[in-house]
Amino acid sequence: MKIGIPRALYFYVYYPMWYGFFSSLGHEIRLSIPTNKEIINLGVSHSVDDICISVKVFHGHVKYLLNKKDLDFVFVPRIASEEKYKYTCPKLAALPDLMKSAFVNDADRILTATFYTRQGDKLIIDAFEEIGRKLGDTEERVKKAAKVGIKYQDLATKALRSGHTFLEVVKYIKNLEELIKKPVEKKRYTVALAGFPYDVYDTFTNGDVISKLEDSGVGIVTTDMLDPKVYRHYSKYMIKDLFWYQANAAAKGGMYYIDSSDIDGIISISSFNCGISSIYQKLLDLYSKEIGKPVMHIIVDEQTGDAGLATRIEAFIDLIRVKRGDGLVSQENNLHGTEDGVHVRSV
Amino acid sequence: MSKRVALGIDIGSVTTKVVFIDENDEIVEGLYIRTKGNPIDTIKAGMIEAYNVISSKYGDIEVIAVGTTGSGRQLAGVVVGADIIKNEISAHAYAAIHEVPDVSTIFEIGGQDSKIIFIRNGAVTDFAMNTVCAAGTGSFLDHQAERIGIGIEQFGEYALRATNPVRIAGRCTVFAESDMIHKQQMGATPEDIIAGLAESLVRNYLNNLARGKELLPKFVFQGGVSENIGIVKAFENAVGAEVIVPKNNKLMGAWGVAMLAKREIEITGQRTNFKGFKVTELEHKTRVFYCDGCANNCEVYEVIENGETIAYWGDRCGKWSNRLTSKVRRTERADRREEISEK
Repeated sequence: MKIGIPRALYFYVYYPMWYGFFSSLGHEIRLSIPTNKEIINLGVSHSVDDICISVKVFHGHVKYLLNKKDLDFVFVPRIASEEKYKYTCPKLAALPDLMKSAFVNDADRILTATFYTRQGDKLIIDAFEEIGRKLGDTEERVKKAAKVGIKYQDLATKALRSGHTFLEVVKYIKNLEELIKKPVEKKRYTVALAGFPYDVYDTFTNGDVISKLEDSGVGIVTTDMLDPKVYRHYSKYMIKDLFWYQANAAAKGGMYYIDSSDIDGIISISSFNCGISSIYQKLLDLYSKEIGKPVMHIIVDEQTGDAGLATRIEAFIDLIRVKRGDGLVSQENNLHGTEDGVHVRSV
Repeated sequence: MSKRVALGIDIGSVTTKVVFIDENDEIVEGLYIRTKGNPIDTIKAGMIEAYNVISSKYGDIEVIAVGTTGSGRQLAGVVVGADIIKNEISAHAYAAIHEVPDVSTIFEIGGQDSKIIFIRNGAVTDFAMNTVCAAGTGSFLDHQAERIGIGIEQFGEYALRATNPVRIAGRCTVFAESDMIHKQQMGATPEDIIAGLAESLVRNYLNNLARGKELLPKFVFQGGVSENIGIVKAFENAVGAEVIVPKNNKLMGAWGVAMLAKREIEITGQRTNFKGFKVTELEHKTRVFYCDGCANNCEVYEVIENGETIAYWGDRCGKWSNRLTSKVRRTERADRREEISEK
């Protein structure tokens, strides 16, 4: 069968698992195109008004796939929990229901199952069995495929831990072992991006912060590269944990990077209207004030003009340059203003 | 011998600032002009005007470095041939630190945006910029002064004469305006309303940008709005300390970037990219088109000099902007340098 996977939200966390599962069952996977203006417009016009831009974008991806009539299903899993006693944001937990109500006529083409991850393989296999029944695959094959999915996810995690971004994981999905071996280029400056993977990696919605930094000679690391073990102890600073795994990862991962001597600064990326982000941003503010490392928040919304964003990123890079004692001038590579995406021809 | 100067251009949303500085980083000539729709013409007019003034004073001048900043920095950078294109936060901070070395907090309010910059030990440690809302910036004050029927120049004295400033909602321009009308109908004097407006602007600014961050003296206040003595007073009341308005308060961005351009040239030891005053005679056109390469439909901007495209920007994928870079880059720059030195 042909299954569409929306390139949004938890795609940026669990795509390897889904890829491994569906492809080993012999189903054809079709990804929606990376977010663009068309997808955002589709999403905004099909969603309710008061949700965050990330969920609106998800609507757009689902609609894009539903419009492809040759796809049998569009996969919208319900990620209910990513850690024991931690649950996802209500909008994410209700995602399949949101999609079914937004696209009533195509409701039966939405393929879903409820996932509880990082709580043992059993719960994941259960969820995959639910999908397998709908697709008409035998139980034995589904179990095997679920294990392949879990293996892919483990490899992807390994790649992240070795310093590769999830965008690279998507690119190397057929060859994750090669990616794990690939060395990560070290740059003079390193900025950590704290935030939910779907905000950090959706390069269209966030004005392509990653490329803007990399083009200016700044390496990046993200909070999903960290093993939760390394930042567990920051719960003490927060008094208690937040209720969402991803919020904890952004907050504690951010604090871990604030404390890391090889990180020059932290940029948090969140989507407008996200309540949980406001909490971890404040936590990062408070912690950075104690440690004295620069933190900047970028809040993305539907507008696509990015002049203000470019100015802020440039100024942030200047700030870390000065902090390192490199001064404001003689940015050889930036002489032609590549920071802003401007290229000048000498005449 | 001709006088050696560095040129700094700050193209803001409402005004354009052009300065020439000498070897000692002092401003020899500075101009503050309204941008009025066409930034390129404004820059050229400013350059000619400043050139005439300086050359009548000093005779021949030689421009050794050029820097641009402000929201139109890219455009200005390609048109005049800049050595450094710098964001306005760094440029403003650089000039403020030069002027008041132990500054800790910089307030900067311009025509359409406002920023706060935190400095510790002579380096920027944090900054914030207003994002989408232009409440409490120069344009808003302009508009309100006009509505009350006084010149913006008198705004300050009116505010100082107030005895009982009324409270005005400063959160949003639209609400502030309806609030002001209401207070007027109730019988408040223009003086009290203007002082109230100044206070609400400052309150709004500190709430939106400073967000509870530590405000330490010394304070420097710059940008066009710092001309307004009423707002300066309101800032002093709010922070409970002296607020310094530096001598070149309106030209700080241009001054900062002129100094940075000069350092750049000193460090790299290269010749300036400046195209010379002949650029004022060249014909520059800009063109906007929607790229139809993909669904993003990026607005692509093209700058054309004497019929030849010299820059593209606005495309997300680099389809247009890379066309020029691949040819340019460093080799061509280096070639050009050799050409110049051979001559």
